[in-house]
Amino acid sequence: MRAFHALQRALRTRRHRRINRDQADRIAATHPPGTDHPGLAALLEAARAPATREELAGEQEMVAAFVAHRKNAARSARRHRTARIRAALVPATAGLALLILAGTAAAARTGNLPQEAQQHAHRLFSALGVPAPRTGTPAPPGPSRPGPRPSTSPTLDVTVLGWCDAWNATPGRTLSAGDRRKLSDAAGGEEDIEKYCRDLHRSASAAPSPTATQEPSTTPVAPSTSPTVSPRPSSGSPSAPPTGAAPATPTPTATQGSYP
Amino acid sequence: MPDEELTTALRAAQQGDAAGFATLWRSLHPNVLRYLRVLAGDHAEDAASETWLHVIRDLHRFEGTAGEFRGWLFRIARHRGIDEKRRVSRTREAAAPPTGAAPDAAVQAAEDASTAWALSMIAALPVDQAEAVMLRVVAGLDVATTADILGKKPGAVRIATMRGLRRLATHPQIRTRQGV
Repeated sequence: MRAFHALQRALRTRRHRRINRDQADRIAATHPPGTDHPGLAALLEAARAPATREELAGEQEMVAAFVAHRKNAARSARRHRTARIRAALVPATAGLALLILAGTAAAARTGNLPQEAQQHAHRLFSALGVPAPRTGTPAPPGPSRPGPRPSTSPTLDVTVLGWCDAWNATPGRTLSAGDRRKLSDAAGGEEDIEKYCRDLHRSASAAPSPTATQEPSTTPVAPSTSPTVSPRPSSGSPSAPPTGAAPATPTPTATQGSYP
Repeated sequence: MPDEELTTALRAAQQGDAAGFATLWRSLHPNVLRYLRVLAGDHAEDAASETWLHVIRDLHRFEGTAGEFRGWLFRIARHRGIDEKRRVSRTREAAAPPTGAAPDAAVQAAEDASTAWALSMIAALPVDQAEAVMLRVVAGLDVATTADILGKKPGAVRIATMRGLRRLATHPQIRTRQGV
């Protein structure tokens, strides 16, 4: 019985000496673990001892790595800033250029440019596939251009030629009412439009201006030719010679003989 | 080092001040290295270097107090320590596993040797207890931060710390080695 009590006492003491959770928290919070566990206290003090020289040996190296990284970071930050500015500037410039180009093209198409610029624009944009104005409104005949231009003017009026083309394609259809009125004003009457346009085309082809050859002429240039100019004799045509269809028919050259 | 001084050094380092960074390193590196000795054994030095290079790289992005910085630092250290151990065990499969005590412990001065001995004792604990003891007792992190780093619940950290300390207290070598 005495032995049992002794064992109980021993167990109680042992349990009392065991570290519980709160004690563990206290130990962790740098409180000394107390005299109950001198071995543990010594161990933890050793583990928490001040830094040794060996442990601090790498300072120079690490500070050098820090400095080098900061330098690199600053350099790359500068590079990024430049790249950002460039990234913003390029689309803005491109957009502006596109806007100007599109505006000019639109103005050229509707014929709102000054005369000289209009011709240049047509030369430029026809190469890009923008058609010359056909139904657009030209610059109204203001004070700088007194009255309708004489048809014999050496400088070719591209706008009026455009109207003529539209008129010849489908008379009175494609042309807007305003343009039609202007064209008939210029010709001196709606019935004179055809003759006016013919004359205009003739003067255009005679003029040395390069735009003259560029204009697609649907009307015969030389008035001396027959009204229906067929450059190639079609096989079903009754007017074709019945025998030996010579490729070079002796028709008078209608358009300076440019076709083979 | 008190946290106010550490915060000053931290802010200076974040502004690119080398002296601030040096202060930070001097006050925190020893404990990082000791924690990594327990976690990664012989690879502690490499893992510690990796840790600080990571800190240097991401320091400008860090926001928080000195206490939070300590937690961040030890979280990085833990990842680098585990990485390093895994990498070396892959490349050196045939090599003998590292012993608990650091090999250069013998050549160190007496006070260094006692620290090395203490660390080797802690390293001999089950790994969760060893980590809890190192982070709580040696690094001085609070329960919440330690739990965050170890990915455990605070209660589990307290228990792991308690069990680790208990085991150390009853270790025969430690009980006989009083007043090191």
